[in-house]
Amino acid sequence: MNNVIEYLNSKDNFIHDNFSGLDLKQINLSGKFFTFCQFNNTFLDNIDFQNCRMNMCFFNNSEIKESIFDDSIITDSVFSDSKITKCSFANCELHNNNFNISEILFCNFNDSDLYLSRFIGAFIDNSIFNDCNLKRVDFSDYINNHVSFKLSNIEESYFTRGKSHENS
Amino acid sequence: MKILKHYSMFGIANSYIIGPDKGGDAILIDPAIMDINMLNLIEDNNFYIKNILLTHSHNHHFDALRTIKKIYEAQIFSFYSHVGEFDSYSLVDGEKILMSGINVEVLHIPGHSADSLVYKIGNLLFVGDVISSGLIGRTDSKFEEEILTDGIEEKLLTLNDDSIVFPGHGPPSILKTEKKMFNLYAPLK
Repeated sequence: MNNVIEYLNSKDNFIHDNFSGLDLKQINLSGKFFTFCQFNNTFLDNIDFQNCRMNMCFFNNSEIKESIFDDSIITDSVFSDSKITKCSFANCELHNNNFNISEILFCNFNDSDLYLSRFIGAFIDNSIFNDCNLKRVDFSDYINNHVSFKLSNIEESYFTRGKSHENS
Repeated sequence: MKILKHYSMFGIANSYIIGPDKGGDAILIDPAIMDINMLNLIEDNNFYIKNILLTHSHNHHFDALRTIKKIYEAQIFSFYSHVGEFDSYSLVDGEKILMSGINVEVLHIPGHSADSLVYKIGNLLFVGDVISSGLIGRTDSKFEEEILTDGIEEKLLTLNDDSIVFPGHGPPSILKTEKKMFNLYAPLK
C-alpha cells in the first residue's frame, strides 16, 4: 500500500493506471490529471481530488466518503453502482458522467455543470444541486429524499425514462 | 493503446478513435461530424485514420464520412456493403479482424436497427445504440424490442463483467452495472 501512495504522490499525470480494489485514506491528490484510470471496487476515504482533471476514469462499485472533488473537470467518467457519502463536487465541470444506480448521500454538487450526466435509478438523499447546469441530465427512476435543485434548470433535464435517448 | 472520445452536437453522438500510444494507423468508430475538435484529436495524437468502423447506418453516426474520406485513405467496415455513397467491407456476426494492429471482434445485435454491430476490442465494447448507460436502444415496435433484448441477453450480457462499455450516446459504463440495470429495467421481458 505504501508503494501505491508513493506512486500517487510521485506523479502529476496518470494515464491508464489501475488502482482498482484498493483502500485509500487521507491522500492529497489535488491538481493531478487522470486519464483512463480505474478505481473500480475501491474504498476511498477523505481523498482530496480538488482541481483535478479526470477523463474516462472509472469508480464503479466503489465506496467514496468524505472526499472533495471541488473545482475539478471530470468528463466521460463512471461513478455508477457506488456509495458516495459526504462528498463535494462543487464548481465542477461534470460533463457526460455516469452516476446510475448509485447511492448519493449528503453530497454537494452546487455550481456545477452536469451536462449529459446520468443518475438513472440513483438514490439521492440529503444532497444539493443548487445553481447547476442540468441540461440533458437524466434523473429517470431516481429516488430523492431532501434534494435541492434551487436555481438549476431542471426543466432541461429528464425525469421520464428513455427521454435522453430520443436522439438515437 | 489510446482511446479518445469526440462529442458531436449533431445527434448528441459519440465518436471514438483508437490507436497506438505513440501515434500511427488508427481506427475511427462512428464518425458523426468532422469539426476542428475531431481534426485536432486525430492530428495532435499523430494518428492516421486507416479504418472506420460503423456501429449502424443512422446518419448522425456516419455523417463525417465524406470529409474524412477526402483526408484519409480509410477502409469502411459495417454490416452493409454500402454506406451512403461509399463502399464498405460487410462484416458478419462473430467475425474477427486485425486492423491497425488491433484485434476487433464483431457482434451483430439487431433491434435498434437491422445492421447494429457491437465491436469488442479486448475488454472494451463499442456498442453504438444497442445499449446506452442504463438504457436499451430505441426501437419502433415490440417485435424489434424483443429482438434487441434477446440479442443483448445472449451476446452482450454474457461477456466479462469488467468490460468497459462505450455507447453511441451518453457516458461510458461497466458491463456489470449494465447487467444489473438490464435486470431492473429491461422492458417487458
